[in-house]
Amino acid sequence: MFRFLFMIGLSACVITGCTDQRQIEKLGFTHSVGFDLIKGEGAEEERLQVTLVIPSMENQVDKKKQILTTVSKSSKEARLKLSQQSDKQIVSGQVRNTLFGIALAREGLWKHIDTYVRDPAIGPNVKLTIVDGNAHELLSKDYPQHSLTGRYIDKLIEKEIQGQTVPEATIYSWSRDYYDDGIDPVAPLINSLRDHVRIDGVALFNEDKYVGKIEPIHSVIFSFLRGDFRQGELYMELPDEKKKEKEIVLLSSIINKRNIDVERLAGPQKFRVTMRITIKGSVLEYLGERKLSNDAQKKELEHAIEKYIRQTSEKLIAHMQKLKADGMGIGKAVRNHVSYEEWDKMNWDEVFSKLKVEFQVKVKIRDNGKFK
Amino acid sequence: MKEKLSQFHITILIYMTQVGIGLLSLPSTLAEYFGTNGWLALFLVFGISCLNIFLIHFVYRLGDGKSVLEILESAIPKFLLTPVYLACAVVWSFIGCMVIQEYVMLLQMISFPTTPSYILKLLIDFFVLMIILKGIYVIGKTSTAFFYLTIWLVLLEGFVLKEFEFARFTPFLFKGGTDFMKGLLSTYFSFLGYELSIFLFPYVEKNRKFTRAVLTGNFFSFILYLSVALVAFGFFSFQELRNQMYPILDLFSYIRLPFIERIENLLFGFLLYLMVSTAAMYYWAALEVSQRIVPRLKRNVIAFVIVAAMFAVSMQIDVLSDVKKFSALFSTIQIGISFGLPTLLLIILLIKRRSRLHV
Repeated sequence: MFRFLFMIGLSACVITGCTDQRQIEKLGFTHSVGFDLIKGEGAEEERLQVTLVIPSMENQVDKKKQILTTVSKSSKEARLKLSQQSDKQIVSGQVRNTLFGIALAREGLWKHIDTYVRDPAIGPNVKLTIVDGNAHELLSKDYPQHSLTGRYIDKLIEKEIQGQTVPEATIYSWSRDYYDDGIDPVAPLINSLRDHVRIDGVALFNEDKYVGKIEPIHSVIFSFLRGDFRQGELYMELPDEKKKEKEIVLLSSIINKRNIDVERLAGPQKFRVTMRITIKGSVLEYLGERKLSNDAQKKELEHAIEKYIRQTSEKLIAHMQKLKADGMGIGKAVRNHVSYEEWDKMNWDEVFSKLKVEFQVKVKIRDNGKFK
Repeated sequence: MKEKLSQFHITILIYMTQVGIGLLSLPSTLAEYFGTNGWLALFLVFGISCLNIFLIHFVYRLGDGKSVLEILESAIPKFLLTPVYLACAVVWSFIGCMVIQEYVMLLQMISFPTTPSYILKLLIDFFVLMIILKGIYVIGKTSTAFFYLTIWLVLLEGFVLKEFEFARFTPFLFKGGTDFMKGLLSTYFSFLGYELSIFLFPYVEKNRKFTRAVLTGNFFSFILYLSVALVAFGFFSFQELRNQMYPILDLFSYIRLPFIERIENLLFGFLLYLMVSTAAMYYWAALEVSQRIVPRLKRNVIAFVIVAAMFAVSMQIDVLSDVKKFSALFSTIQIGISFGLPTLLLIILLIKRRSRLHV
């Protein structure tokens, strides 16, 4: 009986492989997806434009790509429509990046991301990017130096994330912050120039709606406020009060530590938040009057950098308070200082917009390269 | 002489029986029912399960390691016991079946969307049947092998620690939960499995280490659950965790290795071993009592009938929410059995002891 059962089992194992076949030649692996909002006459006319970039498997040498686009009500409806345009079975298991046009981001992204979180074929590491403009245009354009647009954008963002010029936004991190009530999600913002794509800063959200951005020049300082990291470069032009000229400093190999202290206040502001930022880095470029080999002058430079970062941070927080976008997660720190009932009753957006935030910045120049 | 289960095998057997499909949704169960910092409830549930193990320990001591079925039959007439046996067999085979069925439905959702679920179920059932035909000693051995095949998965938790943040735990205790009692019950489902140790009495070496082995197995499961829950609470935000069906699968799919992008399908396959061990033990327990109902039938035939019947049942219950419903129903009954049976046995043993003393 045992042997008989074993034979049945073995043959069943082999036969099962015949269903759910996925032959690589017959599949169209979506690499990037673009979503845009198309507005018609009335509110009913709002439609979603979905664009898929499918790198061709057959023409590895030419590196041809296939771009499919359609207009539909939902992303899954779009997939059905798009597969009617393709000779391949379109699968989404290898999606690397989703791009949302800014008009759609303003309306709210959650209902489009919901399908990503729900679909087990799509991993949580899919990147999320906001396009300042139209995602379809950006994806379907040819960038002469890069044969595969999708892959080019993907690599570009990945590299910038490592340098802290944009925050990492994946389906996982975005939906985690969307659900968490003490932080708002953020995402990289890009736009398309004539023959290349450029990072255009950090997209700020309130809940799931795009409300504004951080300029690219300030995005590293935004990263300081967002959390600890161990790699990054900061370019600064420090105004020198005595002379009219500006000092130029490039701080490299930055190690950043951030702490948030929360204190209760009696007034309508309720809390005072102190953000303590400690930065260590090496100066690899310095154009100015000071001698970095002189300890006292190096200290002065450190103070000048501290002042610059503090002032920029104050500007950034004021901007974010106006937009009611807590992309740094100050809410999480405040939440961890109050009782549950109080937090539950609190309208965090309102409290955040009036919050008093102070910055204590400590900069340490670890070394100044191999030149005095 | 038949080989006996060693202390080590018992520990692993208990652990492998406990850890089943419940593990995949445990963190969201904790978050949903208990609210913020729901992982702390694991301590409470672990405590209760330990008390239950002590209850079983007393049965073992007083009964002097005799088979519990013999103890029952020595005190209660057979015609009264038969329906009880039958009910127990049904409950246990259902639990075993539902564990596999839920796994199959997930497997279908993730990797084989168009393969009929019954084919996958048939394969796994066949696997389980092969194991239980060989008896408890082989189940113990297989579980040990499966243990080694799966325990390394725990190390994967290290990959997600990069995104771990203590601030997400919040300082609130059990706030925003829905139903504390329901939560206790649901969490207890994950601990179920140790109670089957009551049938192991005749198969273990007679010494005091038996209870210690069961407790250790229970403790292992607890540590695993605790680590998984802690990681999930720090990795996902609280509200997100409440909305997830299977946070552990999401944890898996987050893991990315430099040379392979999507690894979760591969990892999910290893979980099969956990489900098979759980199901095998429950089917085995059902087999033990069924044999008392029809002692004349061959053991292999009964095993085949049970597995085949359960396969037929699973063809009817092929909607995930139904599977979960049945699973919850039978697990609740099982909690009753796991406390009721040792209590009943203790009463029988105490009465017997007293009458013996009087004589």
